[in-house]
Amino acid sequence: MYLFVFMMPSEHTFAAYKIMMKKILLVLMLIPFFGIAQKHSISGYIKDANNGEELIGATIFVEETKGGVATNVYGYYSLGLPAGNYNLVFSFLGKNPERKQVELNADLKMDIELKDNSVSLETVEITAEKKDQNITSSEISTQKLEIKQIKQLPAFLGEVDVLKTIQLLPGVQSAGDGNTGFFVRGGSQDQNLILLDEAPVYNASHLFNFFSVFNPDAVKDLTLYKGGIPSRYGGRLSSVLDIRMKDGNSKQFSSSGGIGLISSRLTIEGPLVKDKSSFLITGRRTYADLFLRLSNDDAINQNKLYFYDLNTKLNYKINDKNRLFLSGYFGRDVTGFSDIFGFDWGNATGTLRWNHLFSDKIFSNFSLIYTNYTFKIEGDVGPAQFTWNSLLNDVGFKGDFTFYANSNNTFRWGVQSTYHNFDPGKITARLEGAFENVTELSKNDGLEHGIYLSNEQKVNEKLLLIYGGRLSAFQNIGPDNIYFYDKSDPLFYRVTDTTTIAKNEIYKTYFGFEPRFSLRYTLNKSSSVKASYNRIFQYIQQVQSSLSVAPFDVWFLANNNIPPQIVDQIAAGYFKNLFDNQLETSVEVYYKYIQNQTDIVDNADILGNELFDGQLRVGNGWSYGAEFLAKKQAGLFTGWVAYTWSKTERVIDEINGGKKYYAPYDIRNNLTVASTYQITERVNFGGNFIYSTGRAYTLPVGKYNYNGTSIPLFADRNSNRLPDYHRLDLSVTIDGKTRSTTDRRRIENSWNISVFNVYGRKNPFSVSFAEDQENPGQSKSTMFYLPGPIPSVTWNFRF
Amino acid sequence: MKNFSIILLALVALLSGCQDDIDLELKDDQSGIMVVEAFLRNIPTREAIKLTRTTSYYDSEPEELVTGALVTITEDNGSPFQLKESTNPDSLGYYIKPANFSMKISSAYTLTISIDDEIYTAVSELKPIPNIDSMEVFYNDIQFLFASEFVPIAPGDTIYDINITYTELPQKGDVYLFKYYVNDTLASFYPRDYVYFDDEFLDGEVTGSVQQFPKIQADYGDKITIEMLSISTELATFYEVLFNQTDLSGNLFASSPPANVPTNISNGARGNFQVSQPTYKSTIFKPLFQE
Repeated sequence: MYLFVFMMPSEHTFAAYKIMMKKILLVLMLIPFFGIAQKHSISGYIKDANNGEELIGATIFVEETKGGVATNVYGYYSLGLPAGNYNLVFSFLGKNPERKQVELNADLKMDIELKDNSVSLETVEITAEKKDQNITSSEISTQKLEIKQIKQLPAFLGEVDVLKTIQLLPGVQSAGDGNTGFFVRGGSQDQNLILLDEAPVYNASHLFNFFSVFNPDAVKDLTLYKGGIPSRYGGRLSSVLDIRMKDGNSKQFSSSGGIGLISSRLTIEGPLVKDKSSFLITGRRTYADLFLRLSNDDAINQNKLYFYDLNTKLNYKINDKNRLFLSGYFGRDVTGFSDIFGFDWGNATGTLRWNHLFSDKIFSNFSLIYTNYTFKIEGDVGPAQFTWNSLLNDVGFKGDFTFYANSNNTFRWGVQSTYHNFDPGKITARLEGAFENVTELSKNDGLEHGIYLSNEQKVNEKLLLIYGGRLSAFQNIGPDNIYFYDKSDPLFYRVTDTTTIAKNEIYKTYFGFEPRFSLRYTLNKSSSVKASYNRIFQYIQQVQSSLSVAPFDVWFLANNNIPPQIVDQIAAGYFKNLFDNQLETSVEVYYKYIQNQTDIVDNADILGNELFDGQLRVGNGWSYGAEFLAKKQAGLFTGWVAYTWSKTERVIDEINGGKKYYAPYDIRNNLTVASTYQITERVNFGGNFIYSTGRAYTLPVGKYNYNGTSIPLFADRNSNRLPDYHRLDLSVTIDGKTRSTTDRRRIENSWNISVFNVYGRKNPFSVSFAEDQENPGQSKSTMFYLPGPIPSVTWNFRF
Repeated sequence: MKNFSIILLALVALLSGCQDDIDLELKDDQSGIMVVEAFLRNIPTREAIKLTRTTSYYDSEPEELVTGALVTITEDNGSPFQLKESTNPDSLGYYIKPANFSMKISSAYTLTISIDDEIYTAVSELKPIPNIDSMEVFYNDIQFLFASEFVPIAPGDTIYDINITYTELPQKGDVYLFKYYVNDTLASFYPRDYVYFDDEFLDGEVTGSVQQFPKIQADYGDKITIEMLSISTELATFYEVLFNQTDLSGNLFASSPPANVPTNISNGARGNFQVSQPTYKSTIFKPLFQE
């Protein structure tokens, strides 16, 4: 049935898309500057010579025209040039650039493999060609991170974590010590679109947010968009974190892994059919529970507390024009006390993609996407039982097209349709012979669609424009219960009426027009200015009671009570490279305004509450700030320093008496330093430092006594601040001796020693206000924090 | 969902590692705000309303009592009845409902407090209460998941099940508050020890309700009395929020962020006013099976 419901609209939109594509092509033919005839194309894939992985964002520089392009997320590039002789330079960070001389008199196919640029102390090779990507690209408010770079930074408990590394970027705030949750430019966590091989991940954390679900050994590349979000993305207001999994070594079988304090990892990859097909399987499991079992204390040794995950990828090259990719993720967290209580949760995602080249100039990708998030809570004590099962499914289809029309225009268009099936679940509380209380939280299903079109146009040598837009639509589908509230008491909404919607009935439809625009203007060889505007609609949200997302925080769809959220963001920046592109610096300012911003009412009761939408209030929010970044990518000393000044406020009529207040993640000043230093060929030091102003918090302004209980009296919401946050982490990575490179099967190993919170700063992630148990009548505040310093050691290998 | 919160409390304690007292710089001291503690039962005994004022958060001084206020209760549209302040020097700030002041079921009562040109009012309806048909008390050894609504209990702690039956009143919106007495002395004194029931799922049915009270000090042979009181939904919410904002304060997952406990008193005062009809049942605590 679900499949049927899903297929219907997609077929419909597919037909619509075909008509749209024809129209677009027709329009393109009429554009006068369109001069395909005189030009030839050079296209192909750029790969890593070591393992055959396609390189994302590798650049192709044409010395004669001083222009170039970068590869897309599948490592594909296409470039249009008039007939003639050219010198092409193919380059990628950490790789030796390749120079090729070509005589272009017909369309040319050119696949290139780039070899490692081994860091040698004696000869630090500086490759200046095309290192000014950050100046010349149109991308603003966008950060790319290489997994290699992430792995060299200190890691909490030795677990390399991509989400914790992006928290070190300007404009990104952390949800707390050791917490993977992040906030981008004053947006809440559910406003981040986290994609793993195009599949959205609904709960990106393990073990109550201490670790993220992304096994670093499976990750190839990640890009974070904070603003100027391309029109191919939609559905979340504040950021897109696009994580791409490795394809698997297509040259030879290899395995790698690591043994750490918390978990062990193992990856096996290799070719299935040489140069045609390869696979990757990577798994990870924690073993803290194995130590718990060693305890003599029954209260400890019967506890369960672990997680595992598995990433798999398979790719198959049918021919030069068609490639298939199948990727999957499966992860679970398991917690429990003996056999009386269990709490498990996890994600599963799957993506089947088909890359198809209609011609050398038209690259397309079609994806079938599945994502699933479930949790299960079970309690069983003699006659008393409690269960709660909850699940969330997305099934989606996506078609993306890139048309490298000529050297000045790249068109992108596509269509996307997703069927959301949210079943928050049934809660059963039972006491044999006494009562059974069943709360069935109503399902909400919906369809989300998007079509987009954009053009990246090089107007002249200096000016680059990207313009386009996305049209989004959202439909609520029954069965569902719709509630109507009496809103006379702003603190407590009471249900006045309920309407039951029949199965498959579409009862509410929203549309959104989302213009997107970016420009880059080059001032000179080493500096440029950029600006962007984006409007985005968000149709699904998560109800959250605290800064830290809990595994049972419910996702829900826009409905009659909660309209979709809408953001308008403008951003502008100045980019300047110094010392022959060795040091990249930038300043960006942004302003964003969110319509229909939601927040929970005072004393909201959202846990397992069918009427959660009556616990939310809707208003407007805004955020503005300035971000300064200096980044050094090459040489022995690499890393970045980022400083962010920002302010995030809201006005919601029924919260804080309608007065303006700070968002809970409002942080005024934020300074981060992330750096690595290659001290010898085999020894690498890493260090992180973070300083930020304390978060906005509600603190008591008095207290009173009621029936023998001391109750704190609070003033305005989030009108005070927690103490400032600061922390230093250090690490050292020591590579074992590498066997001679002439030996085809190399064995490499390395040790990583990390210390989290070196000087043991107590950074509160939460504060409680209660009466002192030992001293009745005296109130006190108590902070919860993660103790430090926390050392860890990890051994990694590859052979 | 309270039971669930308790489990999370334990889980978070396990994960969050450390806690320390912290001295926070608290701005905007708001002491001196009127606080009303008014729970009047419709029984022929003296009952008191207590008026105090808020103090600074870290203040360890005894609470500040409000003396010299004019306190009245008005039934529906009747004429005001004054609750006189206690003349006992130890009970200043207490305003007394005399034993002979009786209230009528389904009538609304307005509390009016005036002092220093400020007037505070609140309204509460006296709701009916069903009779308790039967009652039994027994020990319950290990309870984890379905332990008390309010206090986390470690396995092995002794708690008591008080099992009563009554016929729930027709029409939804009834909320009952349960307290218990051991040998006629109130044993559930603090709001965290209260148990309450609302009829959302069991409206108008014969209800066998197991009320679990932790940490009673009682022995075989003691007289156990259960008091069942009619209250408003708002007061039940008040108790629930009170628990969230005190015992569960600061809990990362289980509680809502810091916010004021609601009130039904006007003009910025804190606290609560409730009129309530009680009903009682007693039994002698004896072993379930003769040993």
